[in-house]
Amino acid sequence: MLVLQILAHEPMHGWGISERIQGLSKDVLRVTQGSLYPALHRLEKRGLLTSYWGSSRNNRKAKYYRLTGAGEKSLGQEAEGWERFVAAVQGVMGGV
Amino acid sequence: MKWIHQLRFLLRPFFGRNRVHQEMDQEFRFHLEMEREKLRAQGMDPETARREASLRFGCVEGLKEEVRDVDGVGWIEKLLSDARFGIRVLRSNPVFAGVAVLTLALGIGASTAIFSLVDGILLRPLPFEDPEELVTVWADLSGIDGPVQEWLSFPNYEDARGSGLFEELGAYFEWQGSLAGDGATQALQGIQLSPEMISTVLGVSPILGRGLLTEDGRDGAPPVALISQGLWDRLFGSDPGVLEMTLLLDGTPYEIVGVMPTGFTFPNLGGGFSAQLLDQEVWLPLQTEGLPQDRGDAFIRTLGRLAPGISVEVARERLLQLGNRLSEEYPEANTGVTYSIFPLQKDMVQAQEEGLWVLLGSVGFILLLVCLNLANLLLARGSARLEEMAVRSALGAGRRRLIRQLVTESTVLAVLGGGLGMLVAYLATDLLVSMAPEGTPRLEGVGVDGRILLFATVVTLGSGLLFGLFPAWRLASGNLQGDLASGSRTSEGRGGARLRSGMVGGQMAVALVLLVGAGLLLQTFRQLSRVDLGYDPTGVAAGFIGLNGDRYPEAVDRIAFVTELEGRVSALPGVEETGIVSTLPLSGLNGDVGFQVEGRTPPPPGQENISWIRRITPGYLGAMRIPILEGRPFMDADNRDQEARVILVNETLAERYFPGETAVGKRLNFGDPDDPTWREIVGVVRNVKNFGLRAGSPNATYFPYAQVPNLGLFITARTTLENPESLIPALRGELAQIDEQIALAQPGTMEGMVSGALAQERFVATLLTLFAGVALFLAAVGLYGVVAYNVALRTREMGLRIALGADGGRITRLVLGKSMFLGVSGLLIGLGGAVALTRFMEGMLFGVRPTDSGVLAVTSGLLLFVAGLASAIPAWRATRVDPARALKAD
Repeated sequence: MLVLQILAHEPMHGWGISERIQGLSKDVLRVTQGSLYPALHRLEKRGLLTSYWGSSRNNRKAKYYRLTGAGEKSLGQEAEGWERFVAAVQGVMGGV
Repeated sequence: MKWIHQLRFLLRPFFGRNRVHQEMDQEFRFHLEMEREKLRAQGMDPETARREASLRFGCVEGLKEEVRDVDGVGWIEKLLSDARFGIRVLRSNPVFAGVAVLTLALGIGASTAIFSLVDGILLRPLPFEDPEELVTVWADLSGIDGPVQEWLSFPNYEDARGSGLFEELGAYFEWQGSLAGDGATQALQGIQLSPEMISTVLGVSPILGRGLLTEDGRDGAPPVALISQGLWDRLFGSDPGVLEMTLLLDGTPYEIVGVMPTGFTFPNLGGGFSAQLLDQEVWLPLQTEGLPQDRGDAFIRTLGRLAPGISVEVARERLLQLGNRLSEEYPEANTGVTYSIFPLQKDMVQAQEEGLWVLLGSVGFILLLVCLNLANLLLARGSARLEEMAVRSALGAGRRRLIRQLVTESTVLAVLGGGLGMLVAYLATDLLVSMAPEGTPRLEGVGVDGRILLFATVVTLGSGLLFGLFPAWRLASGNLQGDLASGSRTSEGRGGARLRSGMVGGQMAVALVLLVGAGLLLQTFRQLSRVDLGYDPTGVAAGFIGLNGDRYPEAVDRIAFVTELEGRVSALPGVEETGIVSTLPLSGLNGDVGFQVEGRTPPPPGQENISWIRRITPGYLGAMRIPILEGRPFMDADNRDQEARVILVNETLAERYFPGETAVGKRLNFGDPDDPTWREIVGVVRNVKNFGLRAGSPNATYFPYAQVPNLGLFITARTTLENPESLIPALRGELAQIDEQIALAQPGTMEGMVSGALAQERFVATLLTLFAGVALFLAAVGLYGVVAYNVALRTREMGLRIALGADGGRITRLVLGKSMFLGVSGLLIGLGGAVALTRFMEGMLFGVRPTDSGVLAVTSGLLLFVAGLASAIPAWRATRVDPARALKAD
């Protein structure tokens, strides 16, 4: 979901995504950077992402990932599910 | 769109494997470089930055494998590595691999070859436009104990044609004639058909010129002909100017209007089994005007195309209604007569269908035997590999992984066997086609092509799974750690032994089923070859002569021709006797008429007395050695005197109409009851098998040729020559001396015709016997394998027994007892299977029932004998075990 959310703004390459995850989650979610790639390929196989080769800002060839229509839909659903979950947890926590 | 995406992933393993690897490298490299630059920008020195970047990224190779798995390119690599390993394993054991690949190649090759016959003859659509709409319509006389497929009378044909059920229903006849040209006159064969037949019904166009037109069939239209490409090449050197030329057929010039492509054959049915033998070289328009309008006079064969929206079932229903209506309207001719309709394709291959399916089933069984044998071998070998499996399992290979490895190995075997099998199939298909009986329909379309190869591939992979999966599953599912600990070299569990024994029993059973099938067919063949033909075919040469009615218009002309021909032929050296007959036995040509017996009330409509008629010269009975049972044969005087109204009848007619009394002297009437011409029976002759060896001998009457001289006749000559066939050139020569425009058609020997009538049976029986032999051999090998293996396993036990004083006989009994138990259980199952399966071939049998005790006993005995033989060698070996060695071995 994180990856989808990040890609919802703009297409990005793998390194960019990993930087963004670290930045956004304020270094809380810290995994080996490489483990991102199997996830990306899995999402691509499920049709939520597509990839293309483009040039990065410093003019190097990089593989960019972009959200597909199905990806947007899935993101919407997951985000909704997540919000519900958070709301439920908050409800429980607040009730105590 | 979604599936294209999926397809890309599916295909990637095959085509984009290298690209995927490169892209992944590049992607990872990019990431690492970016990370390194970032770290360096934060002030790290290059070397530390590089290390830190790698550290943060994780294990590159592990990730690559993970991504490969995700992208679906991983499995093919595992498969390839498994396959490579499998090939290594096989190469380390070349005898096993060789035997496995060879038997598989034979099994797959034979199955594929037989399937190519089944496919080409039975399954593939006919090479005509919308072939499923093509039908044949016949007279159905089953209501009056007649055949279901009989020719139609012209008015009955016209009524069916006008029923609205057909886009077109055409009529046709076989045509045989003589072609006179620059060289010698030659016999020519073809079809005379409704002009619409080729273009409208079959939808085939000529390669040159035009097809036949409706106008060509009108009365008085100028005679035209379509010729075959073969004739065009042979006679005209493929000259396109042929369209302005004429063919002199039976003395009449026919304008050539078109050339039909090579491979075009009109589906000619219903002229008896010889119809398929007819070489079609000309197609002539049938002029229907002037054809007999008598509903009792049946001579029309049909081929039609159903009207749009009409199914065969609907047409059958409506034709039955039409038939019933006609029976009411025309009770004299049509009582008990209705229509039957068949899809053309089914009709064409009726005679072959059952035999082909039986053969396909049999090779299927052979393939099953091959697979069982291999499964058995793999199981035995697997026991020896338990240790390897245990080690691999201990090193972390999962059970699925082990099964996959083993199945891949067996698939490698199957693919090698299948590849070789396709080669075998190529050769065997050619062999089968050349072996197939002359006149087998659609043989020209039989061959190995993409369809057949697809079949072979499916069979290959299927058998690979069949013989591989089961042993693999057994092997991988055992308690492997325990096996490793025990350290025993060969420790097949009880279950494994029982399984292998069960498989061998199954092989015995399958082999017996094939043996019984082959036995029944051989017995059928024997019975058919011993059928009393009613004549002696040895030493008789024969040929057909078609006279042209325009050139031999009067009876005297025909009689003069026949008399001169007989005179010349009987003067030939080596000729003992010669005679003329209108319908030669087994020739497929026949004609029947109704008759009445003098002094008896005429039977009611639908129950007329019918007799087949033959016109003969006095020499015929002698030439064919047809015995006279009572009375006298025809004399030369009968043949000269048109007033001597004499006939001969066969045994069937004599016994049916004159039981308990003599037929000689009685009189029959074959004409109009209002104008009786009574003919006196002067003799009774032996029944002759006229319609095929399986058919009975219905009523038959012989007329002196001179009294009713017809145009189509056969010359028969009994010769003392070693080979009667060598008389044929002389027959041709004499014929040309009399009339150079007539050619001898379908020349041959009577022995050849009888043998031809058995060709189909011989073909199927030969193949099935061959298959049964192979099956028996495979089952014997299977049994030998199991017994030998058991003996090997029990070497120590045997040594101990011998050491304790068991003699050779005891040991032999021990080993044989077990294998005989297997043999007998297989036998019992096989007998059950044989009884269940052989009833499907009942239609092919003659003179023997599917449960014939003799056949069952002989085949069972054979199976047990071979089983005994197969276990005798290991048993003998068991008695030779050296106790001292066996006990010290471990």
